[in-house]
Amino acid sequence: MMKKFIIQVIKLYKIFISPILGKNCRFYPSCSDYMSLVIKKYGLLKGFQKGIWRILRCNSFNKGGIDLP
Amino acid sequence: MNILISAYQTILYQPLFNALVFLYQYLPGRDFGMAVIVLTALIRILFYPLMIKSIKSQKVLSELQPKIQEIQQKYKNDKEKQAKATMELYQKEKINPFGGCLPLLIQLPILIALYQVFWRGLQPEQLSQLYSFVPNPGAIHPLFLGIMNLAQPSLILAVLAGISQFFQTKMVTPKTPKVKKDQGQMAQFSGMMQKQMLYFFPIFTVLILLRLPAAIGLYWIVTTLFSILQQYLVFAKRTPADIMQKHA
Repeated sequence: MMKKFIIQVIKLYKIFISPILGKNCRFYPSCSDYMSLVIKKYGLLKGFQKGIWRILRCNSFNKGGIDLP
Repeated sequence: MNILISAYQTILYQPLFNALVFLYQYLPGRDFGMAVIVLTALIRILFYPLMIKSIKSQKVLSELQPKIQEIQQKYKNDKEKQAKATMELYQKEKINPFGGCLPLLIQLPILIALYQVFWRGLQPEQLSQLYSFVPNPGAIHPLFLGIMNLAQPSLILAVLAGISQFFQTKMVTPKTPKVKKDQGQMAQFSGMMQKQMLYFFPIFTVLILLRLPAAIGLYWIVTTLFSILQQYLVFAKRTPADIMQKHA
């Protein structure tokens, strides 16, 4: 239930907020897509941790590139 | 939670508020609008180093342009595959034109605080938040260019903000070839969505700004112009002829 809600929130972010911010992510899939995927795969708690870790890695000191969950 | 709010107050809100009053006091003309513009510009310039790396990889990127276009042609019906193949190419060439999500997320609280400063900063009781070394102006006259009251909503600034928002959104919206009927509903839907967003955002911006103090509108215009400039520097499409000229 909560899981579906969070994934829905991410979808709304992708439609309404993300376009204002422009393309910034150094990875494929993007951090927001990755967050949805890991929450689906590992559940809310562990997935969220993995998603946050991905965002922390998404900075100029990381090579970026393809990083699937 | 309380700790978070007071940390936000001391670390973000208060310094920005003080900077605004300081600029208001010392900029020639004592124009509140100028103080808003200069503070917004200073903050955006502060963030600029975060973008430099991506601007540097622009040179390599323009050399890769033909390959990128090839990928776009090859997967023009599948945005997912297109993104993946482009990223594979970047990885192979050891470049990455993007700044990353973390720098962006770090900027957001600062921008929210700035926004609040322009919103609440005009209330007289806020002046108690001044540091000892910033002289108290007594009262802030919220005028821009001596005529426009920035404490009230302004139609002109709201519309100008909407226009700049339109161009900024247009810049980040990828040019998509016309979606054909046989391309599946998903592609059609996302294409339609992107088109609507292009018009929806600016209109939304104007509607919101019509209800807010015009100082926010001015802030919005300046910050959007900065985004446009940055995007231009990073993603400006350069044709091979331009590059030849640059290096000649």
